[in-house]
Amino acid sequence: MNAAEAELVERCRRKEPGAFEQLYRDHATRVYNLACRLSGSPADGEDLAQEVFVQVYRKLDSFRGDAALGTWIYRLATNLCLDHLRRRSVPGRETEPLDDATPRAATRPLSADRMDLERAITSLPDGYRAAFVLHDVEGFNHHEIGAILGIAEGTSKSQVHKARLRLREYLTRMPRLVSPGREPVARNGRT
Amino acid sequence: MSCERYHDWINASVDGTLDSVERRELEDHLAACPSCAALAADLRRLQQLAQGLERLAAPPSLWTRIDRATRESDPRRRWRPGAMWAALAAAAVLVLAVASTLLLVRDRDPQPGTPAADPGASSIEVARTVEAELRLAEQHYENAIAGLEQLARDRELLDPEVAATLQKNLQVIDGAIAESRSALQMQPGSHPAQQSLFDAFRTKIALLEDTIYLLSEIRRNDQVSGTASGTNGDQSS
Repeated sequence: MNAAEAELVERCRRKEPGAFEQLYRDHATRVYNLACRLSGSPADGEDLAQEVFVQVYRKLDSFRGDAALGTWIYRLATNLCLDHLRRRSVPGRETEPLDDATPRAATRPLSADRMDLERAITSLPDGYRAAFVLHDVEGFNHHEIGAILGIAEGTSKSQVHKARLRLREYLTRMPRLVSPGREPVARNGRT
Repeated sequence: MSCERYHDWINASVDGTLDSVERRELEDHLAACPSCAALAADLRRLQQLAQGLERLAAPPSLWTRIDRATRESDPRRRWRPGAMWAALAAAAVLVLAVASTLLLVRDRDPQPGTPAADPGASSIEVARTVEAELRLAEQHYENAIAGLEQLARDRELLDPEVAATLQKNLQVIDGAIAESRSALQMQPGSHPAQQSLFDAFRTKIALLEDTIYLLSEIRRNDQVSGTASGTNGDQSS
């Protein structure tokens, strides 16, 4: 934790006017995006982001400053989101990750758009989803993700690697949707 | 080396963590292996898509919800009816007075797209009205601040550090109010200038509320300490 963060934390602990709002402003966008993408729903994302910051407010006294303030907040956020996903899953219907060590041959080249990717992310197993969103979307490095998720750096690399392979398979095999203003696109120019 | 080993390198190349020797070897392999070349192209495309996903802005209501939830969960920040009624009454009067003033300013401001019968005369009238209302709001603030300062002087309640922070914050907010007022004098009908002024007023109201609350808590703790020491004195005698 750097000096500016330590000062802000102290101001928050003293309940100084505006201090917690500043902490919120510093981290709201990333927490909100993380919550929306991990939950797969803006409505759930807003509820989860609220819960994250209420927890931060309550637990700030126990924050020892061993890690960066952001790492602590995103760890709390990720854990809350993963708990939410676990509560939401129907017992007996959880899917186990397949062995993704070897990528299957893609049926066609990847020609997806951002909406396709948003949808595909929600199909990932929870652990893969968290690692992929933190790394490829939010831009954390594997060392930071290890600290956030409480896993080894190598495990983070492996999770992101497997998530990418799953997404590739999902996106290259999914049926192309046809909607107004959006024609199916193939790389060879034929539709 | 097997294709499987190159898959790790392909991922590392997408992350940008391959060294130059490994990168050259991987490029040679990709040139000779269509399957791995397709995988590399797809993963790079996937990364581009991920980096280009829309950055969602947290809705303004989120902070309101969090602020309310933290106040309700924290007895030190929660307003308690019956406790320090004088401080609460002072805060309520202040909020009411300023809110009324701001509503008057807003209501008298012409809405965008509303045709004015006489643009020149209307502009002058709005300027005079806004100026008068601002003077009124300022008077309310000065009265409220003077009352707060009196409370602080009477008991020397505020910690010097807190008092300095309060003073600094008030100066920042007063600066924002002055800037907004200056902008409004130049453009009496400017919605951004009005919004800026309202935001500054609201910030000042929140700060004054917190100050009043802080003062009331210090005063309450003083009373508890006084009672406790009086009780101890009785026991020892």
